[in-house]
Amino acid sequence: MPTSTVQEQVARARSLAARLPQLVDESRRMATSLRSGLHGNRKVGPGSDFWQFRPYVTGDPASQIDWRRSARSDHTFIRQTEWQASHTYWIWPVMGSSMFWSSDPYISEKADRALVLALALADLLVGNGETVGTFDGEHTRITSAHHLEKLAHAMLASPGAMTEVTATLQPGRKHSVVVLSDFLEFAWPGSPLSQTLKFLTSSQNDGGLVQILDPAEVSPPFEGRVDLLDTRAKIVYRSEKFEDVRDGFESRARLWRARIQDAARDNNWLYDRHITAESANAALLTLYQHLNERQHHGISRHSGTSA
Amino acid sequence: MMVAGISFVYPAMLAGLILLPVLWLIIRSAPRAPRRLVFPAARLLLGLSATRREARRAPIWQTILRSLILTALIVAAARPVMHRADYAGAPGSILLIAETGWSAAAHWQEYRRGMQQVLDQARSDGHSIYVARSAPEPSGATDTALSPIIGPLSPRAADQYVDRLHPVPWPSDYIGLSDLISNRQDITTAVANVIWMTDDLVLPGKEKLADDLSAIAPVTILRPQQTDQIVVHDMERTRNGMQVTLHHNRIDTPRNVALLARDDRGRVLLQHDLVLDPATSQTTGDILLPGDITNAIQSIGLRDVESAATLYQTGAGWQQRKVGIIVSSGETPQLLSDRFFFLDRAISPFASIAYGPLGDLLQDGVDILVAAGPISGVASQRAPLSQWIDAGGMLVRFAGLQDHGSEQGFLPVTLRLGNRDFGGSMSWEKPKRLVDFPETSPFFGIDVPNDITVNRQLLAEPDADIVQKTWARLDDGTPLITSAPQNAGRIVLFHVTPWADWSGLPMSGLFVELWQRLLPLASPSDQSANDLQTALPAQSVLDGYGRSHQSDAMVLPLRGTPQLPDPRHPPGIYGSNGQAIAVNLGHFLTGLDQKIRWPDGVVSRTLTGQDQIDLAALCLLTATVLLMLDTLILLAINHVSAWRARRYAMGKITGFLVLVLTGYGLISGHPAQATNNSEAALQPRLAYLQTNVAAIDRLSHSGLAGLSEILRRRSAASLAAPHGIDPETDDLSFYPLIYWPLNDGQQQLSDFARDKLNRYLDGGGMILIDSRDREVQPARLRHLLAGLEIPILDRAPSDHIIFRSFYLLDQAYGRFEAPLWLDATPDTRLDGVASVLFGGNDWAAAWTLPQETDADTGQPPVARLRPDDITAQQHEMALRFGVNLVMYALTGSYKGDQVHLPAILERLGR
Repeated sequence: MPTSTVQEQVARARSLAARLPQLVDESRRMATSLRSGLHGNRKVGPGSDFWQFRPYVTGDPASQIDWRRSARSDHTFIRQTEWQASHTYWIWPVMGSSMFWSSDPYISEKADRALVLALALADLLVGNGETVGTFDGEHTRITSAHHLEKLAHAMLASPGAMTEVTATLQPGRKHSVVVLSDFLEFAWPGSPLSQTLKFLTSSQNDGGLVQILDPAEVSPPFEGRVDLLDTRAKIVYRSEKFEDVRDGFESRARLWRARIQDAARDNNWLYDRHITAESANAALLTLYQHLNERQHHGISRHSGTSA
Repeated sequence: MMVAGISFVYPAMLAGLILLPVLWLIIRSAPRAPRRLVFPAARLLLGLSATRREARRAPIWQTILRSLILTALIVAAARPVMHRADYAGAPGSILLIAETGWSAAAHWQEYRRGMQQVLDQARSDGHSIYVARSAPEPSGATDTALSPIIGPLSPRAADQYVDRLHPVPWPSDYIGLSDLISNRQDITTAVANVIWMTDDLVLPGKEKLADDLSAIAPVTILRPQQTDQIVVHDMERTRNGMQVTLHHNRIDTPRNVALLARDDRGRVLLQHDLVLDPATSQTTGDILLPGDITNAIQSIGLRDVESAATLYQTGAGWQQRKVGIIVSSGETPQLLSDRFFFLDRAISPFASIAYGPLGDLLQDGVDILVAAGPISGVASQRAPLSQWIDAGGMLVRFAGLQDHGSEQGFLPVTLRLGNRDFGGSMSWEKPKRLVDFPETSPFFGIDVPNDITVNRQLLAEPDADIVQKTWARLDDGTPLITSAPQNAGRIVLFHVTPWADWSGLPMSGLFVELWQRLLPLASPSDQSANDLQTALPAQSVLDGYGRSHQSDAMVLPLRGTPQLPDPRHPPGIYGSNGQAIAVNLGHFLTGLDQKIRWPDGVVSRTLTGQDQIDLAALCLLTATVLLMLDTLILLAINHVSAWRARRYAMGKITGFLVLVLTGYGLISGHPAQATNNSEAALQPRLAYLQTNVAAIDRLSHSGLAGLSEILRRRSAASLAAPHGIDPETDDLSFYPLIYWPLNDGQQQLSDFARDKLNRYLDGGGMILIDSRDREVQPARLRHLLAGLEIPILDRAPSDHIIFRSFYLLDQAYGRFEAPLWLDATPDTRLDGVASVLFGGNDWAAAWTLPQETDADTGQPPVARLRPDDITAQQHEMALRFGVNLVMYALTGSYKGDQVHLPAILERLGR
């Protein structure tokens, strides 16, 4: 395996930036397919924020047509939802050096996946009329899907590690924060993740942690005599026979994941986990639904507690 | 050390195999280098210690693989060789004696391979070679000599020398070779090994040679695997076919051979299988055949054996003659057999005999007529008999019961009246004896026995030419046999009776031999055998393989009876027509049944059929392949992911390479060879052949330039400035028309240039040849144009397209008014367009525009070049012809339709 240097890290980030249009495109496609999927799943129920039907006027988006209502009469009706004040989401893919790695060339790197997920999520949210921003220096925020590229570049410019998070990150009050990362820096007990989250939640912020993992980080497939290097090509661990330490690794990895989950739960945040070998669509769907549910329940609970 | 045909050059190196177990342990304990993997989550492992620690060991497959590699290397170091031919034991130069005598032909392939093996060994050991040939060769004008021993040669040079060796169809000269070798002091001191390829035949001097050689150095005899020697010893006609006698060595088991009989064109007439009997050294085969087929047989050979000794050729004597013995119609067979008993016995082995009256025999078409005494019935058959002799018949006459009397004609000499008696009761003279045959006689060379006496004879008049006519004479000089040609035929007279009362000749063996010589002279097939030769030139000779060749100057004519062939008289056919004698090698070979006993100390070995194969390279290859396999497996294991990633990249790199290469191939064509060519390819233009005479070239250039200018002004043809071209260097294919002014001093075109011009014409080019002299001189033209494929030329008809293609003209105007010649029958493949136009009108001079300076070369105004005798009218007409000519060259037969336009219009009008 080629050794990685800082320059290479930079080069990788650059190559990721070069691939941005492709990734944005991919995330758009994902968002589109998901949106139509969500549309079909829609049910009338307590969670629906239905407001009124109104006759269809030329120029209305076809996706807003309520086919059930329209089928009952000769006219086509648009389902108008209750107007809601725009909610702001901060989506932060944390691109640490460990993110630019995959165990297999056929599996995309964690950074790629994090970015795609982040952008697709942003696309979906913006499509719903929400505002999406990220923690680059200018705290870029967009409200339209047309500015997705701008958001993507901003995401690349956002801080690459959570431990360095200071007051520079300023989500607004009651905004939601979604952090996508492998959270490898919090692999050890006593890591300051809870403190970091505390800071992020300081102004009644809701949010979620999405842990993006390579399959090898769950169950490493190595065998025999291996020297394991970190991303700076420094030998971290020498194993005479990896089979002997695999069990140890897996149990520690479980602890690691549990620690992240606990940290999220401590702050009453959402925790999602995504393995890069799995489909990104499913991950996006789950994430989106979880966020939606929290939007309806969690906020009310927040308001309840604050009240 | 030999294992399954494999031996080792350095067997000591195999001791290295003992070390293998040690190496095994070393390899086994050497662990593989750890794989290096980037794994960011590895920090989770920090402080984790494995519960058990395996010994650092190489996996078992790797140990086996590496041990195999080492084994292959050790074996390779021992230089294993398969079918090793180790002939030269002692280090040092090798004396290679190549058996080139007749017996080598049957084994030549084996000998050749054996020599190759010896040379290969010498090459690998670095020894030099001396090569000696055992058979003598022709030397000087008439002598024969052994060729000198060649050497010292490098194995490579020896290889080339040996390549040129071939077996010869005569015996080896071992005695001479002994002397030759002992005379070469340098060889006897230098040589460390003697290798002699030969067989077990006993031949004079062979054992002595082996003795002499073993005194010089250790001798190795290399025998062929199959040592059987079979020769065709004889071939005789029998009453109902023929008998073939084979001589051979004593063989262990019965062996089948197939005889092939061929005719004069080499076609196989029959195949006869024979079984060689182990008990004897001689096998005889009787073949039953009709006489005419037997007559057609030219040679008998053995199938699958190529040797001069197994080929027996027939001469003229082979073909059976029909002999007619003239008797009067009343005589009965019993009487006949009494009188013609000896004649019958002498002739019948070689010819068929018919008795009958003259008329019947002439009608039967016999080759030889025999008459004793006056020819009965000749009175009525004079003319037919004379014609028969003229046409090639042979009349053999004997004295008979009656006197020949005064009957004249059908006799070679004039006979005196009455017979001559010697030694009779009324005579004092003693019976006469026969003397040796004169050289002018066809019987020359036959031994004359002493016991033949002649008591009575017919006496010939001593004419002036009696000596030439006499074939045999008695010791007093009187002729006994006379002969004279008559046109294509011949008359022979025995001056005695064919029975035993006048002489002892008919009952002697000599009589048979005389008939054996006499019969072939009556040539049934060829009628022109009337001049007898004593020295028979070779017609065809055999080489060592028994293949027939044209005779060469090394072969001397045959005199007398055939002997054992030597370099000056190789086997073959000597003499022509009726005198053709076959000299057969097999006939003279004896002693085949003995086997040579080599002296002590001489090693006799059999040549191995297989070539030596060096296995060391194979071992090294195996080791390399295994090593690569080892590396590959390690690569695959260590860098599965890396390798996969690389495979990813490989596709891209390959694609890129293909792209780059394709692109390179597209842009890097051949650079234009000459600017002339690239210019010519860009724009059509006229061209003229450069003559290297500056004045003519300038004139050609200005003429064509003028014509191009006129064309540009008057027609749509826009031609660039003309080119002077040299067919040696320029590509002609760009030019629609080449103007070729001839001049006397011009050099002959090279083959290359001629070929180029021919291809230009063949590909549809057009050349206008201008002899510039008004008159056409064919001889001069032929000289100048030698080698060009100029078609047959004809005068251009006045309605030819060339006179209609632009202007309507009636002749090819130029400086002169000579006719224009062009292809009489243009190639339809070229659309019926003439490729060669010829004339002597000096067109270039007439085309030259007045008062113009050649801009290209800055030459003086061409007006000075232009002859003064061209009027403005001439100039204009010449230009018109030029325009027509270029139109013709550019449009071909397209304008042909225009020629017929009036007729077409007329037809349309109706």
